[in-house]
Amino acid sequence: MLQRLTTRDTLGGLLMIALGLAAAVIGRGYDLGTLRQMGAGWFPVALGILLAVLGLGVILTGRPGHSVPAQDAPAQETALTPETADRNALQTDGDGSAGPSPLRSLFFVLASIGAFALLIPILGLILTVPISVGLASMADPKSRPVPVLLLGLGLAALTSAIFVLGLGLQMDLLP
Amino acid sequence: MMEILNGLSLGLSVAFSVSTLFYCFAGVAVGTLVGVLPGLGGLATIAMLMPLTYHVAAVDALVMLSGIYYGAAYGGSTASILLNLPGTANTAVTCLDGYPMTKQGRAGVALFMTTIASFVGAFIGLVALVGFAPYLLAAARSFSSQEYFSLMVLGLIAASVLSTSSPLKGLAMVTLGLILGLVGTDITSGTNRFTFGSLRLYDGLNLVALAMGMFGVPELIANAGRVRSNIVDSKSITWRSMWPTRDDWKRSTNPMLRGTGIGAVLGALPGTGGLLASFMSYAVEKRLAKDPSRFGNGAIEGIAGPEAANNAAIQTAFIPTLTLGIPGDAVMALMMAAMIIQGIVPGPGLMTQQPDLFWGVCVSFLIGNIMLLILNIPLIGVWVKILAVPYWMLFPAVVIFICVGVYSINYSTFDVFWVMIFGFLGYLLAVLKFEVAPLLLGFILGPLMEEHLRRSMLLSRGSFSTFVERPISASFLAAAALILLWLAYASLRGRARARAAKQHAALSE
Repeated sequence: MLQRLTTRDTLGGLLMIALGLAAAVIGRGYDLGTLRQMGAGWFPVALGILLAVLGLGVILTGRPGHSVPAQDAPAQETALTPETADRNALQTDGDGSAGPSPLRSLFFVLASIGAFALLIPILGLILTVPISVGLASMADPKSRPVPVLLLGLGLAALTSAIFVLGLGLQMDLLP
Repeated sequence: MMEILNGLSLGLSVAFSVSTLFYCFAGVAVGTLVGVLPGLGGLATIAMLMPLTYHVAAVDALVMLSGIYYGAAYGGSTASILLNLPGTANTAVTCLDGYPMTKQGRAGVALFMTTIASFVGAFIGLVALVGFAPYLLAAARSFSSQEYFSLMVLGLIAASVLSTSSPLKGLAMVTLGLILGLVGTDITSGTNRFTFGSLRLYDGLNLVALAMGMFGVPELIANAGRVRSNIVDSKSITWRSMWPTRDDWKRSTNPMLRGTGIGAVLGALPGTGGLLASFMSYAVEKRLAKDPSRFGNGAIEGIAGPEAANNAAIQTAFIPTLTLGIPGDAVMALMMAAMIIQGIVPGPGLMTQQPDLFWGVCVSFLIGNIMLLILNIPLIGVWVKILAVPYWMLFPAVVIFICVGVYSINYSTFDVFWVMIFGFLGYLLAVLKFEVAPLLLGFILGPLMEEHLRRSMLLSRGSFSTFVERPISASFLAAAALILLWLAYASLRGRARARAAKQHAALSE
């Protein structure tokens, strides 16, 4: 447990270092200019280095778990800090039921968005929406086909009404 | 004073047009709705509905988006009280005493009192907004690029360290946001930065795609497949059960006013919004109480103060955005982006060049809050019923609204794919416990900050000392440095204490 949480900060820090160095290296390719007349590269390089340094800081101060130094904040007496709120919010996300695995949700939610992007120019709104709804619903292993189909058709009608008829957007309804 | 009265009468004429009233109502109703539903926040909703506002007038767009923001604050307390799930993060503290009140059969009173407290806080916050904005504006006229740059530094540091759980991660997120904000054509030199040869990136990353991907998608993933357990019977909340006793009124009045004061001050400062205000108000009330043990067991002071603080902070958060053009938090940053898209430049020029917009929006806040009073007291039963809408219907609907919304901006499937990419990145960051709100703030301020930096350096002939030679700029930077020093000190002391405790434990074994 302890090990795993430490790794999370390490991974996060490494990600920041990688992104920061990438920004700095790419930024180096633009004109740096002078301090008086900064070129296109100055700010990106500076920010990239800063991000890498911050990433290093995240790794070095990586803490196991939630024991955060900010517990010395003024609200200490009540043991109430924004982190408690954060934790509450996390509980909201996690508890309440044994939800499906987050990776499954991630996959189907992203797939649903991707399918929308691929299909909307070809199939039009009315056919694309139910397909995307179907894919998104797969994130929930308990979803049943008939209600999902009805939901998809309902949403197709609703979005067509709001966006195309109501706001007059130029979207194809059918292929 | 005369100026303010003239402004208000102008604002009244704008805000009472049929279309503005409609968008105001739509905003607060949608806001209450997403506030009530746990897991769907105001920020994601504003991002989601931003494309819709591209097609309406600027005033209406701003009125509606703001309505979502403060409406969500009203609605958020409903879920906190009835389900012990904060509808929005800012109302998390309301769970502490609101839910115990529900268990004691006093849900009605709690809902009534939070609505009244929200209204009182919002109203006084609004008075502060209207009263202080003209003075701040006068000060802002003397600001040059140096002051703007330093103020942004202060704002970004405050926003990323004060309201996140890990200051370093918050700073990293702000920096990453600044970098992402630079993608596209550099206005000064014409260089295309970080575009990787893609023509479509010349205009920069799409803000709506970024906001929805980073906020909407992780929220969806967290909520998919969730089943709600405790559903409240809407019939149990009757008119009679809502009316507070005389004792309730007496206990609530002063906390409401103190909360408003705390919220109004913290809201106007950069980086300290409603979340911090509500927690601080709770801490203050608990400290002042004759019998602190009542807190956590249904003390009405514990909901009245924080709710007033949260709503006052939301109103005064508009002060720096509207007068200086510098948003204090991610929601305000989105609001500012919405204005820029409409061709409005938030900042000192806004009030003088477009007084109808400034005052119209301010007056609409008053109208919106009155609407919320009606929506949340007589119609509370409707929202309680909405808490019963199952998630399996809700989350695919949100996916669709995100897709259609993003697609409708430019009819570009490229933008929709970006939602996917940002969604993945947002999820990754959430898993690694990075908070994305500072990233959004950095993203929107990035180009502006670079411009002010360049201009300052040009004016000072390449000397960084210009930032500390000018007194106002220097004081902003000093404040930023103080925040960082204080955090470093608190962190070191915390570590030392933890080590001491560990040694102590080891010794006693």
